[in-house]
Amino acid sequence: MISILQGTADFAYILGFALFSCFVAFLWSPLLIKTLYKLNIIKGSKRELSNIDSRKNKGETPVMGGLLIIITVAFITFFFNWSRSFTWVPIGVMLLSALLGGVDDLLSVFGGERRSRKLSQVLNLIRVHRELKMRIWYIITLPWSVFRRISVWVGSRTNKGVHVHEKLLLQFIAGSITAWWIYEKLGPAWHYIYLPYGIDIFIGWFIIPIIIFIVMFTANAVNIADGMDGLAGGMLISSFSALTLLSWINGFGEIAILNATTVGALVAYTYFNIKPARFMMGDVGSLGLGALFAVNTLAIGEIGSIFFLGFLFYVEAITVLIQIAGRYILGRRIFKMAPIHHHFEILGWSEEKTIMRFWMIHFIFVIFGVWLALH
Amino acid sequence: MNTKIISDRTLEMIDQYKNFHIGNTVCSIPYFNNKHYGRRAGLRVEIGKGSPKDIFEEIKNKALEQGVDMKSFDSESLKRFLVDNDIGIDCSAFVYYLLNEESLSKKKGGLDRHLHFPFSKGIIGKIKSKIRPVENTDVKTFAYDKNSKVIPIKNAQVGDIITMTNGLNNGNRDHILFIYQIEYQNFLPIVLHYIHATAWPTDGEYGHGIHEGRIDILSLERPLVEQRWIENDKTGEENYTFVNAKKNQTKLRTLPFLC
Repeated sequence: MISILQGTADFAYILGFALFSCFVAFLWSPLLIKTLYKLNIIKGSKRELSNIDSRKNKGETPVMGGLLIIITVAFITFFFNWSRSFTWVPIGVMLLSALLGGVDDLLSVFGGERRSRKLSQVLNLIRVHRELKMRIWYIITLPWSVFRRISVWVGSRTNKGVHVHEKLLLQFIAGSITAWWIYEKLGPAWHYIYLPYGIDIFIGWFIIPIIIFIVMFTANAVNIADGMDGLAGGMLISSFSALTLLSWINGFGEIAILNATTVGALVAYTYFNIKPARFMMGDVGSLGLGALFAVNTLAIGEIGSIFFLGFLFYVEAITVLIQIAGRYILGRRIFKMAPIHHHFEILGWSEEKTIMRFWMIHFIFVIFGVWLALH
Repeated sequence: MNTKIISDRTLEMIDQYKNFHIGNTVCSIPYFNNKHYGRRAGLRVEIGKGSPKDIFEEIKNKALEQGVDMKSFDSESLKRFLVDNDIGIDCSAFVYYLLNEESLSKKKGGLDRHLHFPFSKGIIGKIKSKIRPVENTDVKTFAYDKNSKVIPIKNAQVGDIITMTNGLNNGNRDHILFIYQIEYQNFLPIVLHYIHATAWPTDGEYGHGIHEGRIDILSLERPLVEQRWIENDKTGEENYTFVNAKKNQTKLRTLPFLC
């Protein structure tokens, strides 16, 4: 366990940030809600589920409600908790991921249909395009075209919004920034993986790809879990509350304050996101908060318990992978629909029942994660 | 005269395709051949290889997606729904599921344990055929000598198959029939009852699916295509299954591991 006791803050002081952040978020939420409705930023419900009775009015709920959290957290951190050592990279990574999510949200609502050329078409263009510079361009970008087609084959939808391969690239950049910061700037103590019961494994530079993977996977996991009113918000409250506690215990005052600030903003967000939601988080919130959760967990050296601290987010993401594997390898669906909260929805669970049970399951696993981290 | 019929377990599988139930509504599963569409690596139910359970789940999903109340189906609308959503079964998958049930009823394990996949090349091909046997079993696989043996009509048993291959050379598709009942006289077969998934030109857009027919054995010495084929009350050139059989190499085969 890493414990640096630098910038340690009184826990009551930390909790003060949660209250302050909640207050600020509530204060400007009417403005955001009004703006989102005015701009009509509405994605609509998932097509496959749009005919479920409980989902029929979701087509009128705007997205990008996650801005409430992202802007509140960034604002408070910038003015009251700015630390070159500990907060600027988490906030930077969060904002980069949120920007990506925001562009995706906006393109999904206002953008036109996008197409993805087949590889054979690209190869044909290389052969027959009348302009030499375009042929060279297609040759240079061929690896990207291959990557893009592979992502389409594994399920990336080639319609509106940012495509999966583009998201992955930008998330890779966000992960790389995090890895560089943790590996280079935070020091040799972060070249270890700390497991419970005092097991420390030195992995040196190999921590870099692990960090990149965790940041990318977590951002997407939170994004995947954001599919029901209040689901991701409620679960994130548990996860960030646990992180607040752990970062305080480990002596990371600034990060504890950052986590507490996030909890406060999340409470305000979830208040408006509970069914019937006034807005939905959107990719702007889910990708940003997923990345922030990963960065903060890694920064306080809790890589060993991150799976439990974000338990249901990871489970949701894993069910999507299992579903894809089932489809392409076995030729059948493993779940009625993925991620798994839709599976239960199709089984007939009400949205409220699914969400509250998920909250509870997640909560108990987060407690287990904290327990594990303290060992 | 006596009659032999396939196991109850296999009959039940036939019934699930022939009289597919959604609540009290019944229709037969339509014919669907993926060769028209060329879908790859999808769900098996999307490429005409689904079991009745797969098909039921797919109907539920599609109905939910399209806002169709499944309780509102009658036989005709259910069939239309299936055809319009490309849900159906092809001939080899239908026979695969029947033979699989027959193998299980004889306590010989699943069919995939016994089949060889000569047309699956390389390690990837072998793995694919082991993981997705239904999708990788076509008529030629059934007709492969290590999987089945050509037998004379006099040795026909329930659970045997009739394969029609080499269709590609003359523009016809390979096809397969499953023999589920045989009438004997003096221990020699006189009528073979078969069932298969097919689409006749006269079936129209929605009439295709599971067909039953019979082959009256006129002479045990003559080949199958010189016997009397009756299906949908049609014989001779009006019987498209018979026409197909004549155009192809049509053979009666038995699967040794089921004997």
